[in-house]
Amino acid sequence: MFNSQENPKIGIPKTLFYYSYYPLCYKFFTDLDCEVVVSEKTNKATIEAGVNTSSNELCIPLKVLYGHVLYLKDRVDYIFLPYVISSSKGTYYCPKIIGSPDIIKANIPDLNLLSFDVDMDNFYSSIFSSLVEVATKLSLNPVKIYTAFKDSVAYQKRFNKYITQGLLFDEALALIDSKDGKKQALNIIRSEQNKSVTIAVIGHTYIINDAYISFNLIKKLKERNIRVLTSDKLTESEINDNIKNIVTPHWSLGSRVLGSSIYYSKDKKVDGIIYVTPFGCSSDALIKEYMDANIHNKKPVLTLTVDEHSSDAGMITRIEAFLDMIELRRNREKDILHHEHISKHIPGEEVKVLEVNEMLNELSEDDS
Amino acid sequence: MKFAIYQVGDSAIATNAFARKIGIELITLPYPNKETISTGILYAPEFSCFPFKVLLGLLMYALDNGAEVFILLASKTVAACQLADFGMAQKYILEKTGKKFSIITLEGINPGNVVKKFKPYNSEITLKKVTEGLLSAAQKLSLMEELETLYRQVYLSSKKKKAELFKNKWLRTIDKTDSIVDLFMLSKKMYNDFIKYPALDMKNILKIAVIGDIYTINEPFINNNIFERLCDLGVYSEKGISLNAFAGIKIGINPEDIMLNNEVKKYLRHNVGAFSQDTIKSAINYAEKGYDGIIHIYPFSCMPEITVRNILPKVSSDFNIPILYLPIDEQTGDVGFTTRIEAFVDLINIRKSKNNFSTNNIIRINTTKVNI
Repeated sequence: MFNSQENPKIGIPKTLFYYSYYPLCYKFFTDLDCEVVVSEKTNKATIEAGVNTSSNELCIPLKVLYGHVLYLKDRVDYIFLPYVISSSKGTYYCPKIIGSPDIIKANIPDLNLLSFDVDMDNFYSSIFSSLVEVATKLSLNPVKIYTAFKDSVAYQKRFNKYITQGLLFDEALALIDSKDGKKQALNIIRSEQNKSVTIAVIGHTYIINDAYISFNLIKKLKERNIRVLTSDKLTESEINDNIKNIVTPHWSLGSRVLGSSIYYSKDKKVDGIIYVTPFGCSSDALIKEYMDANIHNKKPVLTLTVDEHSSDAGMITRIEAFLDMIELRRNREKDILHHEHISKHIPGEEVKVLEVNEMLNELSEDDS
Repeated sequence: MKFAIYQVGDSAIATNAFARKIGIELITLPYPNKETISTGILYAPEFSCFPFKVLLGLLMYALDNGAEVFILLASKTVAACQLADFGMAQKYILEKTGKKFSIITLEGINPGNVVKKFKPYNSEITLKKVTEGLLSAAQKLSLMEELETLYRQVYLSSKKKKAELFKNKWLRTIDKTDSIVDLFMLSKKMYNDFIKYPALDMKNILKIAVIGDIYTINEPFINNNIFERLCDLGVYSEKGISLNAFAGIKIGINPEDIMLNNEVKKYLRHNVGAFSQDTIKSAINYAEKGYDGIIHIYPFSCMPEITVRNILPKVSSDFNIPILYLPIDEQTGDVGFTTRIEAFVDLINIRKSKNNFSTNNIIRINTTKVNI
């Protein structure tokens, strides 16, 4: 009954959920004897193809998706594009992302899409129909698919562990198959911890990890010997702990941004936060409002809005200005502490200590 | 204690009836105007959708005029849209400016639930009062909807002034009538009055359906009075979605609906928030009814409608119907808007007259025969 095809080629677009679930997809399809083809990194051609085929109100991640799908179209048998509705109980992705397979289907003709529902909000009712859908499309045995799915979830969990330890996406992907991965991960984290400046980069995972859309932000920071932490690092529960008093976590993408910004603002080792958001993102629209009001310790936040018209030079200027500001801030704090330290050891100079404290107060008022 | 509720178009007539029945004082809000919109824009986040900004401005007006409790309708069908955060976010923004108020969120129209929500503010409230209030409000809403379609027909068949007289007369009657039995009789009376005007030649007139976001369609001050404008151009138009859909009121089951729903799922598998599937449904519905064109109208940065906007081109080519897309925000100019509508009407006018004289129809029948 199930005549499996000769190694069908499955194409995975290198955008959106590639950056959170690629290990799972890779393991799943290779276990089913499929060949996995990943599209090229986002480049100028991808964006141009997207801009030419889509309507101009779409946000940049979806325009990029057009480009990736067009790249894969003639190279593979099926393009894998699931309907990702929710990733945990009670939360949803943005409407454009849920409907993205439909948008692609309506605008690019003659596509062979492999799409099914990923709905963790009612997982048990959706998983069965999803598995059957894959089985009929690839003409495989549903039981085989189920075991492949179980294995791939374990594989994804191993990957997630690296991410929550603080590794970046590319680093974790390189380590996942090596045997002494844990050791190497520890080495990386140790060497990172020695760096003097730490910046938290927050935003949707497909924005901050996509080098072209985010203008190589992470690489640029690393070149300047800065430790980079991302919003991917946090677990679901850490996020919920941080936002439960502020909003009900309705948008999973938005609450990750809010939760991680509050989490990192509490962290004394983090010197500043860079928040990257696509132009016209309405699921993030209200998040900035909450973020401004709930940041702890007056942590500096730089908001970068990206779209296909932003330029590299403009980004560099803003990032450099932000880093200079952080440097100044650190030096000033160091100076003040230094003065305090000296004045404490000079007998009969208690008055000065008071002055220093006043200065500190004044400075912190300046910041606001 | 003063209450306030969002007004959309002339919906104040319905909400006032509800307030009178259950015995609360409701503040009358103005139609959105430049002043309220600019205060809304001042405080709202940049990428929040246009209805959010407009309604925030109106809410601020209500608070300045002494409202203490705000009633918010949040139907469960609109969960995956910015509307889910409206109450929370607006409260958050306004409390930063030092205003204090509370919000009653009504999730769907369920009389028992409404009684529970209003009990702390008004102890004399009963289930009977609430049911009566809701019934008369719903009936008034659908009467007003009916009146508007009749008004457009009268406008096109006779003169604008006559149509305005007709509309104002019946609006006043709807507003004044309080008894529910009378309200249910009113529909027939209104229709009898309408027949006195010359009938509209529905076959030869241009017909356009306006579909899209529910608020933008129903608030004439946001959509630049699009229905009036279409009437000025001599076009008969219909609404894709009426305010009743928002309250979750559905009268009767339509077997055609089930067929259409399956058709819609081919284009958009899931309801991605608000009335996204309904928009596609009405597009298909009007195309099959033989309308000459569709105008899709939506606020900039409205997530569900932008998803729909990217799927509609496919519907347009499959059903062979032209669609005009009109995103709206605070920058939308009056003149640019009119120009686009005029151009669109001209185009479909030419298209219609061409189709009438060509042999297109015959060719189409032949090809289907070959396929069979």
